[in-house]
This record gives sequence, structure tokens and C-alpha cells, in this order.
Amino acid sequence: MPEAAVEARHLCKSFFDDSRGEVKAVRDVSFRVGRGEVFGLLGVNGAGKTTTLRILATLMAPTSGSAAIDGHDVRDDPGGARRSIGYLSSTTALYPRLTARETLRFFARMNGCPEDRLAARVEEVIDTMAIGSYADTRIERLSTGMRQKVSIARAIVHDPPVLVFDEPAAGLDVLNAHEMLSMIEKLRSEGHAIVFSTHVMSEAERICSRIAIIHEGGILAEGTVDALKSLAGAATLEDAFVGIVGAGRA
Amino acid sequence: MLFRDRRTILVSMVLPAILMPILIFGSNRVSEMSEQAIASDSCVVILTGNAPDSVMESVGRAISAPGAAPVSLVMDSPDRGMLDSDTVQAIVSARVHRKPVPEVVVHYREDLDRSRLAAGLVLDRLYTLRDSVRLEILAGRGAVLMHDSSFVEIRDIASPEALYGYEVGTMAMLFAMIFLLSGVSVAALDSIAGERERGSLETLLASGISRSAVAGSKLAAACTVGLVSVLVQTGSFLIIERTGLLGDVFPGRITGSAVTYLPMLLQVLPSALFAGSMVLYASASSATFRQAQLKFLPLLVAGVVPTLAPLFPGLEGRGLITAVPVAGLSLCLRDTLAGRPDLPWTLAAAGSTLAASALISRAVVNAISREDILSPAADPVPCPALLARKAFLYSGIVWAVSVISSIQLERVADGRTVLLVNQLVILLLPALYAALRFGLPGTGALRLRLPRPTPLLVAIPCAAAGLILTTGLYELVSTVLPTGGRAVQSFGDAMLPGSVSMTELLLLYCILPGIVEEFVFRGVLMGSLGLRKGWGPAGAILASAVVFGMFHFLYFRIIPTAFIGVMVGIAVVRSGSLLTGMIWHASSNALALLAAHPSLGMDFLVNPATVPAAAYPAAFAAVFLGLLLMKPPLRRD
Repeated sequence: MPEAAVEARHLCKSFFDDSRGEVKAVRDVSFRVGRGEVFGLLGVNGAGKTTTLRILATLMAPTSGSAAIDGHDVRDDPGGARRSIGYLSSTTALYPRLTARETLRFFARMNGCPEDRLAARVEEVIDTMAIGSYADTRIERLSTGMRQKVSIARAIVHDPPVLVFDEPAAGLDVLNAHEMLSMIEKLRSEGHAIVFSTHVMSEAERICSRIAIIHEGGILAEGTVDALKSLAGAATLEDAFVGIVGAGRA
Repeated sequence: MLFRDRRTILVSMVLPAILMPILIFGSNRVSEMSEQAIASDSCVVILTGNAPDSVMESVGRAISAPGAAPVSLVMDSPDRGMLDSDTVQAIVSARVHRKPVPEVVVHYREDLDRSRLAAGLVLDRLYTLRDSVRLEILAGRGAVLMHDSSFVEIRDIASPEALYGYEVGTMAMLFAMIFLLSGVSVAALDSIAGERERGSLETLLASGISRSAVAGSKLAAACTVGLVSVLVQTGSFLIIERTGLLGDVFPGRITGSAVTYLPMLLQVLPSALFAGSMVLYASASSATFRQAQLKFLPLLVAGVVPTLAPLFPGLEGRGLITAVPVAGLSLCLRDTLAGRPDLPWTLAAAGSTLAASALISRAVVNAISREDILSPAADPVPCPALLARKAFLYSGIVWAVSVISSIQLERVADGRTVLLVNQLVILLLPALYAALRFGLPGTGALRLRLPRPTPLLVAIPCAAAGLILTTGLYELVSTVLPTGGRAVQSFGDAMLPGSVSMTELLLLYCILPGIVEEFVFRGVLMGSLGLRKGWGPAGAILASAVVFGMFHFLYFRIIPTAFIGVMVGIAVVRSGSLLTGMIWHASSNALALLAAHPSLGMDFLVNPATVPAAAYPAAFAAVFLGLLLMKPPLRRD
């Protein structure tokens, strides 16, 4: 296994809900993700994927357990962890009145990109993501697909070693979703460690090096697509998923 | 980038730029129109009365004398209907009750513009007449008069600039705060709540910048917009004042040097930070922009009220008042504009306002550090835990209603009606509604179950012992908070009206409060507060007892009543039954009532003078033992 850029150890997260009392959203979740890997968290809605990724992005603190991003503990050094992460979810949005270029400059600065490298890095990302034709257009005037490209560019502009994508293709049409997955593959080939959550089997099967099936806050099984299929004795990932979750419930 | 939004430019720059000339022009025009109305309209005034002809003649001559506006004097019999229909604007009645001084009364209607204007004119002319008559009388008696009109002269030695600066300064911070809040709200009200709705807050919080830096930069942006708004308004005001663009509408001119303007800057900057942090907190504590908007009116009140300090007579920008955020600065700004800048006190006032801003900003950082700030906003589902969170808010509302209704009802109804309304309508109904709506478990949080026999038997002697301890506490409290015999007497009169029978007294003042107040304070309030995370029974007992004390409005009753609340709260928790509290409470009230009747010889319970010193430790031991005997129930809540 490559050197771990993300390491989660026995993560637990509980909430207190007014009507339901204590809710255990994440139970004893552990995994490691190396550089050049896409680690998929596969689970139904409410399985605990978003909570796990928000803990990695330091948007939430774990109730117990720990996690480190590129060596930065999310609890002890949240700033360092955030600067080492590019975080993108289907709900993260951009500032509508900024242009794409201004957005990239703003977030590069927010993430501590040195001023002398800032302009060059922004141009480099604009070229990489092929968004030059609308780099000076305000976000509010861009199509959904264009915005999603700018969002990815925003997530990688400070060149983080780790990328956390929480259902990034949710709400996109087929073509835009396809392009999004292609970009993630490209980022993996550039050596980023990517944690990716989805409930769409085909997405996970296409891009994930390893998959963890998460259900009711806990990881039921983890391995490559083939390993999961053989574990469940199933022909497809979907059948494997249904089998493993069904066994977990029983 | 902040000013790229057209709304920001419109509200912080364009509107302020055009608002000031419009306001000045408008008020000037209204004043002119009022003067024109006076000058053009002929007022009809009736002169009547039994004064000697010479008096009637001189009064009539004075009223109809040529002046700012024509007055038609009619000698007619007075009729109120003429004033009501506005056919006559004033009736002047001159009568002689005590010779030789005539009494002149002017009748008019304040709610009719022409009548009000006519009365003003007539009064001015009558005052002039009175002065001239006085002078004639004095001259007739040999006084040597040095002046044509009056021998009393007032000389105001304040310079016109100082006077004008004082007048402008009195309202300056009020206007500055309004412009600050309106400017700041454009940038800040939406900045967290709106971003939360749009999803960009998640993007921002996931970036490498700290929460303090997020709050600080948003505050800086908001204050910039607010300050630009104030600067545009001030510039607009100064241009109109210096150039006379709208005519000669100002009676003076603001003067100042660098020494004046430095304190002014110190006064506006902290106020901008105060306004900015308040609005930002409203945004940070709201799930949606719409929710944040609803908080603007309370914010406006909170920002504007301290700016009214210069309107209070005798307050100066020195001393303790400078510790009140914004209020001290408002006074310092007035003094600065009046030509009396005081840098040390201005610095002190600026310091207190900055400290308040820092505290509010800290609350903003805490609010955006909360994990649920990224959770989708949802309408909370009514449940016991939600009631626990809202319990203090609801108690505050019921308390305010109770205070207002008691004050109003006492004017029109007797003590029994006030008590019944207070107990049944104001206390019991909302508590019943809350218990049902939020689903408080009857045998759980509310403790609506029968206790074992021991707590019931122990409750009455405990109430007697508790009453002695409360009397001692009352005595102790009155050394710090003197009660005053009149307050106690009037309270006693209200509590024990002579016309009420003992049975009725026991029912109204013992059994009813015992049931209702225990259900409200130990049942619904303490029961829900016990569900708060980390509070436990001790926190719930203490907090509900404090609220219970606050509902006994008279200041000298609050602490002793809260003490009773603590004892009864412990009894309810330990026995696991609200009935124990009801019996304790009713017994305590009944014993106090009986002790008030001297013939029964029980006044040692409530009269500190007759309580032997040894009774206090004995009573303490009795209460302690009684509470020990009320063992906790086997089944925990």
C-alpha cells in the first residue's frame, strides 16, 4: 500500500437530536488512503458518508477516534489539515459575483498559497481544467457544467495532496457527470489521494481503487471491486453491495 | 469586490447621497408651508367675559393687532360647537375673580391645525400685553425703567457655533447609528445566513482560513460599507451647510480643527464596529437570510436606544456613563461638536464600545464554529427537548404578560380577580398548552404520579420548618435590600383583604397556587429543564427556583421565594411526585396565612422578632431530615 495521505482511526460521531435523542452517525470507521488512490465510500443516503468526509474536512469534530490529513491531525491542527485538502461536495457553492479567475485567486489566498506563486498557479489550473474561455466571466453567468469545473479548479488551486469529494456528480446530467469522473481520474493519475463518496455503483466501479461499503455509520466491508464481488459471491458490484448490506442487517 | 453588488452601492452610497438633501429640503419646505399657512389664513377669535370694558378693550386690541397673521376678532357668545366645527379657532374669555387682576383663558383645540396655530398667535400677543401692562404699573409706582420692553434680560454667552454644535451633536450619533445599521445590514445581514443558504459558507469554512479570520474579514467588510454610508451622509450634510445649496436652512455652522475631528473619528469607528458585530451575529445565528431579516428591528432598537443618551438632561460624556457602549460615545460626540472635546473620556467611551464589539464578535466566531451551521435548516419538531431549549424564552414572555396584566387589572378589579386571572389564565393555560404540544411525559418529566406515604406525611412539617428558614433568609436579605414598611404593609393589605373569609383565603391563596404554581414551575419548567444536556436535576431545580422567585415580582420576595422553590424542587425530585410539592407549597402558604392572624399565636413562623435563635438550626435539621426521608423513587425518569 502506498504511503497514507489520509488516515482515519476508529472515528465515531454522535449527534443529539431533539426528537430522536442521541444519534450515532459514524461508528468506529477506520481506513487509509495513499497517494494516487481513489478511496470510495459507498452507501445509501444517511449511511454516514457525508459526516465522515466532513470530519476529514474539519467541518465537524469526531466524538472519538482520530484522523490525519497528510500528517495533520484534524483535531489538533485543523488549519494544517484544511490547507492539505481540496474539499468539494454537491452542496458547496461559489460566489456568484466573482469571475472564475477571481474565485481561484481568492481561494488560493485563503489556503495560504504564496503571493509570488499565486498568479502562475491560477493560470496553471485554468489551463489544466480548460476553463480559460470563461475564466473572466462571472460565476452567475456560467452553466452548471462550467461551474462544476470551476469548483474542481477551486478545490485544487492550492495544490493539496488530498482531495475529498462528497458525491460531486449529484445533480449533474450524464455528460457533465461523465466529465467530472474523467477529471477525478486525471487528478488520481497526478498523484492526489482522493476520498470519494457516492451511492451510484457505476461511478464507484469506474474510478475507485478501493471501496468501503458503509451502512448505518459503520464500514461493513472494504476492498477492491473484485474483492467485494468475490466476498459477496456476486457478479456485479450492485449485487455485492446488496448482499453485504443485507448480511450486515441480519 | 464588495461594492460590485449594485444593491450595496445603492444603499450605502447613492441613497445616503440623495437622502440628506431630500430630508433637509423636505423639513425646510414643511416649515415654510406652515408659516405660509399661518400668514395666509385669517383666524377667527371670539372674545367674551365679564371683565371691565377697559380690560376687554385692551385685550381685544392686543389680539387683533397687526402681526404675522391676520386675526378677526368677533364679540359673540361662546359656543364649543364653533371650535369643534373649526368655524372659530379660539375663544378668549376675560373674567375678573379677584380685583384688580383679570383672568384670561384661551380655549382651543390642539387636534385642529388652524385652532392650534390661532391659539399660539393669541397667546404671544397676550403675553406681550401682559408685559406692557406690568411695565406701566411699575412705572406708575415710580420704578425707573431703563429699557423699552423689559427690565429682565437674558444673555446667553454660548457662541452660536457652540449652541449649533450642541443641537446637531445631540442627534448626531442617533443618525449615524441609523445610517451605520442600514449600511452594515446590506453587507452583513446576508453574509453568513445567505452564504449558508447558497452553500458558499461550506466552501469558505473548508478553506485554510480560521473561523476568527472569517468573522474578522466579514466584520471589516460590513463596517466599511457602514462607514462609507456615514461618510457620504456627513459629506452631503457639510456640502449643503457650507454652500447654502438649499438656501439658508441652517442656523449655524459646524466648526472644527484636527483636535475636533480626531475624537469624532474615535466616536464613529467603534460605533461602526458595534453595529457591524451586532448585525453579523444576527446573521450567524440565523438559518436563513429571511430569519436574519426578522432580527433587524430588535437590532435597530438595541443600536438606537443608547444613542438617545444626549437627550437625558444632565448627562455628560464623563464618568461611569462612558462604560455604557455607544451611550458614552453619543455624549462625547455631542460635547465634541459643541466645542468641548475631551480626549481621555472619549477614549474610555471608545474602549467600552470596542470591548462590547469584541464580545459580540467572539459570539459570531462561536456561532460559525458550531457544527450544525452547515446542516440544512429545518423547522424544529415539537418535543420535550425543544421545550427545554425554549423554556427560558417562554418563561420570560409569560413573566412579562403577568407583570403587565397584574398592573392593568389591579386598576379595575379586586385582588381575588387578579389572582384568579394570573393563576388560571396567565400561568396554567400556557403551561398546559406547552406540556401537551411538546409532549412532556406525564409520569416522567412532569412527575404526575402518587408518591409513597412518607413524603406526603413529611411535607407538612417540612413546610413549617421551611417557613422559619425563609423568614430568617428574608431578614438576612432585608439587611442588604431594605424593604420599607409601606411596601410590606401594602403587600399585606393586598394579600389579606379584610372582606374575604378564611375558607376563601385558604382556597385562593393556598390550594390554588399550590396546585397551579407547582404544575407550572416544578412540573413543566423544572421537568423540561431537567432534559437539557448536562443540566441534571440540580441545574433544573436551581433554574426553576430562580424563575419561580422572579414571578413573585416584589423585589424583597424574590430571594426567599426562590429558596422555597429550591426546597420544594428537591422534595419533588426525591419523592418523584409533583403531589409532594403541591402539598408542601399549599401548606407553606396556609401556615403563612394563619400566622398573619395574631389570635392564633403562630406568628413565630413569620415574624423574625419572635423566632428564637435556636429555631433556625432546628428548622434546618428538620428540612434536611425531611428531604432525606423523601427517598428517590425506584423507577428513575
